[in-house]
Amino acid sequence: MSAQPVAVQPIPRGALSRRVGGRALDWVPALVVLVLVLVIWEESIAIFDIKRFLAPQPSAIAANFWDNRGELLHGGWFTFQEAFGGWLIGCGLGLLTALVLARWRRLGRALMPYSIAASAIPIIAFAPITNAWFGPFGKTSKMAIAAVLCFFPVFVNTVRGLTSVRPSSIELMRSYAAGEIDIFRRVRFPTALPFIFTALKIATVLSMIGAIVGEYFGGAPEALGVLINSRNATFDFEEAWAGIGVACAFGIAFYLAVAALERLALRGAPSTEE
Amino acid sequence: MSRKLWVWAVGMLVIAGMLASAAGASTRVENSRKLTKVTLQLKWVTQAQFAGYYAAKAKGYYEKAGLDVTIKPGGPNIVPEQVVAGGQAQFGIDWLSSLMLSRAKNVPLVSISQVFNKSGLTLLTWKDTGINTVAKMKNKKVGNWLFGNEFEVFAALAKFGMDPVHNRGVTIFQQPFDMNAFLKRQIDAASAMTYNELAQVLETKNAKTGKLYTMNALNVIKMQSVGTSMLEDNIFTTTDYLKSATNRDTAKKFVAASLQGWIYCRDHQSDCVKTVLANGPALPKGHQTWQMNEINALIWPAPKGVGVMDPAAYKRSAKIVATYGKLKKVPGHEAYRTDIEAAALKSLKAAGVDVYGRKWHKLNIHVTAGGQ
Repeated sequence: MSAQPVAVQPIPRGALSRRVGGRALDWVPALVVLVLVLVIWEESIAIFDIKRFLAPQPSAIAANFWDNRGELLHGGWFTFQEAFGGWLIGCGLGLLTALVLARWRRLGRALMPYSIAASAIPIIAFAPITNAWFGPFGKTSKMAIAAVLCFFPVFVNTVRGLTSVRPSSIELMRSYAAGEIDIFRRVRFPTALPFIFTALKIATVLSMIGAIVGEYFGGAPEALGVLINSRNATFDFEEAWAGIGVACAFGIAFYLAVAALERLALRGAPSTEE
Repeated sequence: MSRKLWVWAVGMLVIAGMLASAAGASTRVENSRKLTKVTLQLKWVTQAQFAGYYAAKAKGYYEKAGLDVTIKPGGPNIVPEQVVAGGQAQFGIDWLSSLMLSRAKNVPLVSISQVFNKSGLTLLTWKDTGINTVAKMKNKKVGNWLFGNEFEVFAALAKFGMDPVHNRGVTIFQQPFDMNAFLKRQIDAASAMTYNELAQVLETKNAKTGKLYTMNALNVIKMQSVGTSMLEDNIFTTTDYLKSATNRDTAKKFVAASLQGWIYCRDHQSDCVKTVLANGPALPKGHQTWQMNEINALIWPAPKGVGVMDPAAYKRSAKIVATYGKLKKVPGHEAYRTDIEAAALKSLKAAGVDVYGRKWHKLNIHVTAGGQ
């Protein structure tokens, strides 16, 4: 029941693979760019004789990854658990808080400025503090950082989503004598879902960043961030870069998983994605 | 229309402000055209561990040698070898083991003066645990900072049949840069430098007695006594830098003036503590006084002369680094040069300065709470 035309594309129906991944051909341009970048990187280092410790060649990084894949993947998995745990906690709390604040608007208006101000604090500066609270070598201290990083995007976006319902829809519901809970269930929450999922996707990469950078301040020896930092200090630059690659891979996979979840959850609803 | 103008004006102001601060940050005040500018990258934060260099600057030894020296403190995540190799400093201070690791990975650095001739690394245990030797650390938790600082400790543990690399027979615990894990008895043995972490423990009050911990409560097991010590603080630079004769001369002048600073700190300990304090260290006077004393103990007496490499100690260091740093071959003596240090020593002797320090002995330092 839209009053104005909105440029949307329906989610493609059909096989699950098509629904979650789009067409394989769509990925080809991106792949071409990736290959080009890698080739230019590899050749520039040889041609311009760039020092190893500034940037090793992708082939050397790949070879080192293969040699150390056990240690690197184990580290990546360890750090991912910290990121995922923090993501669950942060997003869960963000959603809950948003639900409460959207329901009781006055409370929301009172607390919103502070939450926006708090989100401007460089959260990573709390890494030494969470290390002191929870101990530097367990997963909890990094989960805390990831959770705080995830909390704000989810909270802010959810509140926006829950409160950006078209007044005409609310009026229609009221004309059916619908109570607050019904309005919430049938109108507010579905409207908010795209906003929530956007925030959840942002939170996936933030949680990984939070976990890795938190580990720079002290973490378990097998953690990926500690590994990257340590290899840098002992001049094993290829392995440090390989570690960075593993961190990126886990972050991207996490993002794609949530994006796939989004496509499944929002099937049947008009999408505002291209 | 006026609102657009406002936004544009504010935007320009912000950009101008950013540019001005960037320009201001990179401007250097030019004192004298005659002095050669060099930068020294320290291994860690400002503290008495580097008193010789601060003294050389404060007493004008660098200036007399025609050098304008900028001293850059280090810290966590600052690797002096990378700073020097990247050209942001001409000289650096770090442990010999780091230098060997970087050379093994083709970073072209070379040591020009081995300032510390003894290792300050120890393993600390509480006397009431009964762990008074490395052998008794079997199946216990041993702490170290890792990141290349663990080789001496690992060699010591391996000497007594443990496998610290694979945590067999002993559990290795990565220590943060504080002694809380040891104080809370979460680990059985902690790595500690005589000049830093040991003092941090002694400067802490025992919650049960309300008094400071004393040496009577601790076992201090020195890597030097165990026989697995390695050479630590040395002055290094890039091999490229030394290719020109002018630079070799600058290096010689720099080393001579620095060693003269260390000689001054041997003979005037409290004055050097004041100099370090004037440079804004993180830890206060009491701690720096302890540290100055312990650092002097690592340099003096210098049987061969201050700053001279001892080949036997070098060989031992090289073997340990090769094993635990996973190097393909044991570093040969190409990792250090003797010409610069020899020339520097010659000029110091000619000036009538005592380069051996045979009469120096350690003072008894009164420890204060919190190192105040």
